[in-house]
Amino acid sequence: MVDNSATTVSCATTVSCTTAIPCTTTISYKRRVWRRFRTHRRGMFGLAMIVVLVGVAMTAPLIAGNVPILCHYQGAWQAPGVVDCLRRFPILDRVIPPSYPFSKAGFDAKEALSEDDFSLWPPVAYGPSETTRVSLAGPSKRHWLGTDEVGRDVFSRMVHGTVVSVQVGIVSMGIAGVLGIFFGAIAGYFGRWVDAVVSRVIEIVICFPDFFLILTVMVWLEPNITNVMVVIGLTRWTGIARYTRGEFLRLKEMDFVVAARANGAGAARIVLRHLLPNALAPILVTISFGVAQAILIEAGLSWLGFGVQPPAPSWGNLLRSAYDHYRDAPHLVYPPCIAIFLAVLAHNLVGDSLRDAIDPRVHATGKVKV
Amino acid sequence: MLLEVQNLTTEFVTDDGVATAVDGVSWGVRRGEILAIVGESGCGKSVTAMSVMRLIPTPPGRIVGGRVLLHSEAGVAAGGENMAPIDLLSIPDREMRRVRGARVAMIFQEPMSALNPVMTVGAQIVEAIRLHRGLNRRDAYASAVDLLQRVGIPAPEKRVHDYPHQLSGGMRQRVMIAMGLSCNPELLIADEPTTALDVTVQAQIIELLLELRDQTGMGVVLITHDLGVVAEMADRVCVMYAGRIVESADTQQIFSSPLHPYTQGLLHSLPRIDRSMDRLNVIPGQVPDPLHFPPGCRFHPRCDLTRRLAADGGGDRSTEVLERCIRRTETKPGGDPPLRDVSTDHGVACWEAPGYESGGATQ
Repeated sequence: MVDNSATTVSCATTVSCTTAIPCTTTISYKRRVWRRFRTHRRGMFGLAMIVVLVGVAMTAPLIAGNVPILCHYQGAWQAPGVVDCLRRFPILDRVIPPSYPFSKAGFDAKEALSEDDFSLWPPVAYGPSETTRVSLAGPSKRHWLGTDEVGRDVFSRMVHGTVVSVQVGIVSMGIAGVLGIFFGAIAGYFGRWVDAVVSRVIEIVICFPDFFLILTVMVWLEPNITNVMVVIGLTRWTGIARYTRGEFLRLKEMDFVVAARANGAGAARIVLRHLLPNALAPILVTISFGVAQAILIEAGLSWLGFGVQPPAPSWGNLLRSAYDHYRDAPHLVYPPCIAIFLAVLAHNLVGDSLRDAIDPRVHATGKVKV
Repeated sequence: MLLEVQNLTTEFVTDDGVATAVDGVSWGVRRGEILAIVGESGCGKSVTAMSVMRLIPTPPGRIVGGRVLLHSEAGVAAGGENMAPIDLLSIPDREMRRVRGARVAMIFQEPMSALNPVMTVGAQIVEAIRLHRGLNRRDAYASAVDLLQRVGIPAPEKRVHDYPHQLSGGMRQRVMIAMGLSCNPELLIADEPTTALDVTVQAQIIELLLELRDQTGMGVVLITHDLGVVAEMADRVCVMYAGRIVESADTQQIFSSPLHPYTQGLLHSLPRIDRSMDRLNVIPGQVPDPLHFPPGCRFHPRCDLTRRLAADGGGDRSTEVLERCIRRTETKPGGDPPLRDVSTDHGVACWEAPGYESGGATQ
């Protein structure tokens, strides 16, 4: 017996080595997908852009703002920029006190700090809503992307607008993901009337042209970013639900599910431990395409004036105001356009590469192996 | 008896009608005994096993009749069958979940697809252990390593962290067996445990199962179409054809004196090492569509005996036999010969088997 098993082990090693995966370490499904994903140059480019986007959103007050990152003010060291940056996150805003007096409305840090005081300013020292006397100015050393019609720094507004796009992407797809996975999972797993009901609901939701549905809802609701995110989340879950349902229908027939049941596993365990982890990768693909869609929808809503309301910046309303003044200052149109384009492109590239990475039939070159 | 199946009937509702995949099947298995259920593909052996575990997908399937009695160990210990057996077909789902894996475990044909590709084998065994034995994670892990050792996996403390795709077919089947054994079940149902493996590995797995049976004293139901495996392992054999048991006897008798023409045909079609032949013998035709079973004996269209008699064309006896086997006169299908004991512990379902007329119904 022992001798026999010794031979089997050498067998096992050779088998796994033929797939060019070193067999000394344990390779999980996640790592295999990541390995394949890394070989996709476009996907990695997209991922890098998303990282930059999220990084900019998280550190916006340190990149452009009207308070110094660090300064020596009235004999004490203060870091109002850092405090501002941290206080934008939930929970942290309750823990960290605002840095007085910089947080006071109308307090002008540039005036208050004298030449002798040490101060480290963000690269662009203007807040997104801070007005200057120069309006519709072209790019300059001070205002990298110029100023808008009321003299606000466009670069600063772009940077702070990133927050909106990133938030919309994450929160709305978070809502859509939870709804979609939940309804898709119960429809796919339980089948029968549950499936029939969920599928009909999905079909009804799909029937509405979603942009106009969102637009209609936004007319009734107060147009602000929270409502935009919730409404996008509530309308964009159907694709995820259908994908999840399909994956579950496929997976629940697999032997390992029957085996789990034969071991005494209940429905909840089978769904959460066996089906969902297997279905997650393809669901992530739909979600990453969904984020691109959500960014686009938010920009569209803001452009029409139903999204984020000025003076709060968002790429959509930046584009709107640039459009109104494009004869006088055509250079203002480009930044929001390019930003929206790149953000959408990045998510689509990532989704595309991820789809290839989880499909064992597709090579890194994108060609389907037959 | 450990597990008794009585008159089990399982149907599948299809668009074309109701297919009776398992039709009034009865068998029993004792502690420490290996019962083999053999038959061609589509004869209902797997459906029988899945029905016992109540794993038939419903719909389209449904168990329409019969009982599956699981006798408890305590009853045996007390010296008699005084402790009431539980009927696996009538207990609520919640209780059934406590039986599955803990008292009756099952291992599957395809060790690749029966293991979850995104979980390490250790995690899967741990899950099976924790479901029933209430161990904490660390103890369960230690126990998983033990189990892997017991089923003959070298370096189990390393293998426990492997994913199924990193193991060979034989190793995966060993992992499946380890999972099945994780809660010391009283009965192990093995659905074609060696079919997907190559011959040398098959032999190892058979040896392992025999060894484990001897160690634990569990009963084993072995579902297979491989008569070689049956000869190697089984104490008793049930031969199934088209959803019914056509012959049941201990392994010796099945191989030495098969009574049913189907069993005879199966044995006859085996390649022989001691005889040279140009072509293998086959049973002509194929398993009938469960939606349209032939009237009379379900085996008659393929039966050697019936054909020979029909070809003879003469004699009173042949007409009589044909009428009984074929039942041409009856418009409604049915009229299968029931399983009857022709001698001690040898049941057969054929009108023409010697001693059949006088035989008693099998219990």
